[in-house]
Amino acid sequence: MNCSECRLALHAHLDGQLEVANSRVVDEHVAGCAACAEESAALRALGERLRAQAERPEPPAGFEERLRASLRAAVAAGDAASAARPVRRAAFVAFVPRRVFIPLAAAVLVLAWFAGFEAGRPGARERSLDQLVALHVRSTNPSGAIEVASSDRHTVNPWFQGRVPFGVGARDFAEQGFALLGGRVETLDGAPVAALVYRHGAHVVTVVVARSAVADSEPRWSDEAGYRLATWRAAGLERIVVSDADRAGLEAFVALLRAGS
Amino acid sequence: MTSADRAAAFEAAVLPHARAAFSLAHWLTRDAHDAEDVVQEAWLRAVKYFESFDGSDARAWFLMIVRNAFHRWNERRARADAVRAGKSSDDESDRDVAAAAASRADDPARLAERASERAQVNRAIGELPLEYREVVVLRELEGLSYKEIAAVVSIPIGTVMSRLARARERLRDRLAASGREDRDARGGGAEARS
Repeated sequence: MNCSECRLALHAHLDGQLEVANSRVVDEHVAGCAACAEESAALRALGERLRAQAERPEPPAGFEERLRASLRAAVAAGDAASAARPVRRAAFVAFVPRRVFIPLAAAVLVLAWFAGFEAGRPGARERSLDQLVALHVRSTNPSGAIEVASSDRHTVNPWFQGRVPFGVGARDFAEQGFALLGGRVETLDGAPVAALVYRHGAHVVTVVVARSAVADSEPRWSDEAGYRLATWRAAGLERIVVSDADRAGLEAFVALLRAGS
Repeated sequence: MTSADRAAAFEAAVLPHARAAFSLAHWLTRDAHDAEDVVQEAWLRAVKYFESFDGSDARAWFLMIVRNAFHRWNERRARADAVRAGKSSDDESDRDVAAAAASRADDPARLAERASERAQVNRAIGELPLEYREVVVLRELEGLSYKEIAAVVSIPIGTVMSRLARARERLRDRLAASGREDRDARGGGAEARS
């Protein structure tokens, strides 16, 4: 290890983020190099000073209670929105104590405002079908199509952590005829997305998973350049299936994905 | 699961991280009221997206939502500032809270604080650009791993490392400079009195 390598590794070493073997290499270099030893001591002192003297602001009185109140209000508002049946709603209104009603009404307004706000946000936009087909065609290319090659979701899902800002929720459906081959990170409309690659008979199927801030939706099907695409949103994620496999098979696959997620 | 169960599960998973969320939001907004607004917005979003949470690291998940809520808040505020200034958008509107903190630091009423080492540390962190400030706060105050910081900020681990290294370099320079100013100020004061 030379000095410039040591300077790079020193932060990770002092932060306890290096594997034991690598830490030992850094320690050995520092033991024999006065300049790096000085740098190491200075960084260590800085870290100690920051942790000892930097303020960790405490929340004001009633902070957690206000969070709890808005949680209760938001959950109740969600029930009110999802239960369209009048009987349920009547029971719900009767149940709400007066002191909760005002924050509840405020939360409903806030949620409604968010819904309007979200319509103009990324994820609400129509995706370009060309781009999605191009992304899928990369899945069929034997070189570089897959950055993590595994059918094991306990390998694939952790690999995506830190690469995309959401839980990918990859699963293997080999028994149902859709074998998970692996995945890679792609960029779509400027945001990192997960591309999961499955094999279905002679066909490759790509499942794009992206973060979406807009309302849940049922699958929408389209055709582009001989490929079939299905797009839907659920629980803050948008999923897009792209393949040249037949529609019936893909519909079954979409149903599996929706049941699993 | 009933809504009461969901609310209980959410509270058990996320409420323990509310203080960390407040601290991060306070360091980003530099104001207790704004910090609580940001955490409240993040909290409601987290309720909405709780079903998509994979259950692995609630702290990093919630802090990611807090950080995103802060950026939305900051954009709204910058737009509102631009409208008030009668301009569409110029570099002034983008200048973040660090600049405000820096100008507050010049206030004569705050000069007294400068004597304290603690104030120097807090000012140095507050003056860091946002992208450096957030990684320093997540690492040094909240003790997140590089992997967790990468998830919160949505950047690769390599970028976490390079931002931390640059942030610490700035902090060292800033603290060395304010240490010198402090000594000069004390020296000057002694001369003036004599």
